[in-house]
Amino acid sequence: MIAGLTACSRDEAHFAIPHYPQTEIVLLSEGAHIDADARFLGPGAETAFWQELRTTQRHNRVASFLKTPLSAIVAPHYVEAGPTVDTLTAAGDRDGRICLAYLDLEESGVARVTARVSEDRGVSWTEPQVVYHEHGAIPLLGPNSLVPGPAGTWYFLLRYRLGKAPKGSLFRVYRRQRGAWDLIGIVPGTDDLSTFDATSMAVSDDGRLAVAFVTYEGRLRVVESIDGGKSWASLGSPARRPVPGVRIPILTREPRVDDGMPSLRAIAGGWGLAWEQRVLIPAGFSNFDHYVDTLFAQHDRAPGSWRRSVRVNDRRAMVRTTMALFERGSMMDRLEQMHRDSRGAGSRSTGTSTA
Amino acid sequence: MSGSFDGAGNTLRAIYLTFPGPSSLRVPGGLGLKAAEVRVP
Repeated sequence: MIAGLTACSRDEAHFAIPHYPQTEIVLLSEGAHIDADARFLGPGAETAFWQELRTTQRHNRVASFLKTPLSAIVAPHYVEAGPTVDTLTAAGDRDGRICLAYLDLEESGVARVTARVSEDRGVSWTEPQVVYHEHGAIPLLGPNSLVPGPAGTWYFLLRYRLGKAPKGSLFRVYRRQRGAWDLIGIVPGTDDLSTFDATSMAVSDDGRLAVAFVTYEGRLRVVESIDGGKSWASLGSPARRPVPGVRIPILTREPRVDDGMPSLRAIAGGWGLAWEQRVLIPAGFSNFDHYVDTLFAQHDRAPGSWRRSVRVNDRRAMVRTTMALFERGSMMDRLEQMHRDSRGAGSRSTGTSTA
Repeated sequence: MSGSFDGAGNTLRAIYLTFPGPSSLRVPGGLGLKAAEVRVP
């Protein structure tokens, strides 16, 4: 895409981009969190969102919203989230509304998700509304937890951490409609969900919901609801493409392929999906090759099948999931094993699969 | 890094973390945050 826009020159995969007028501003000169969840919200990227950690008052988290264009001299709008807030996230819809949700984990053991809605790009907000409240549970709140629906509705995907939830109820879907949040459904078939990887929910204009996630075995899975979240059916996943790369007979073994980081969007007539595949080609006692590919596919509603799978591969990208690597220490491995044990899923297979 | 085009499709907006030095990941105050707009003809 960049190449098409800039008529770039190419020299051993280095791109020279001509200079265009640019405005650059500093949002935080220091103290930004590596997981700041900084994004633009709205269909035309009308509002910049990021989260800050205020260290002056017991590390309060703050949601920050700044209108574009960035060349205009305006101050961000801030929403203080309180000292017990563990995570916060925001999403924007096509009409300029913003929904802000935050997860409180109190010392008493109560977990609470609270949400507010702004109709004016973060200037004013509705009173906080409790979306979810439970004692003894540890849910997750991520950048993909909030999704705008049609006509001012909002959807929230609650995901439990580790093996705290009863079997078959790792995902809950809540909806805000006519000013009230309600639990509308539980996504089944997620007991082999990997606790490491991202989950993505999408909502179509006609109210269909879909959730993409990754299993322990590193396999992508997509489920869909056509009745607003009450019942769900599997859409399977795109067929795996052959894995590129050099093989040396006898020396190299079959590649280990893991899907990850799914990102699901509603498109005309179905769903669009982007994800990554981590490929590891073992040889003897070490790795002969190790790289990350980006893949795209779409699911067409009419035939009910996946098609147009595309693999973007240059075999130089070793690391794309920076955060996953940071988190994936021995402690996280043990926690994942505890989670698998609690759900009766056993150890992760070392088997391989390609196409 | 995250980015998007504006509604007209001629301005690219990006928001990204800045790393002042190779060891900044280990320094609590080391990371910054910037936003940029680039006009694309």
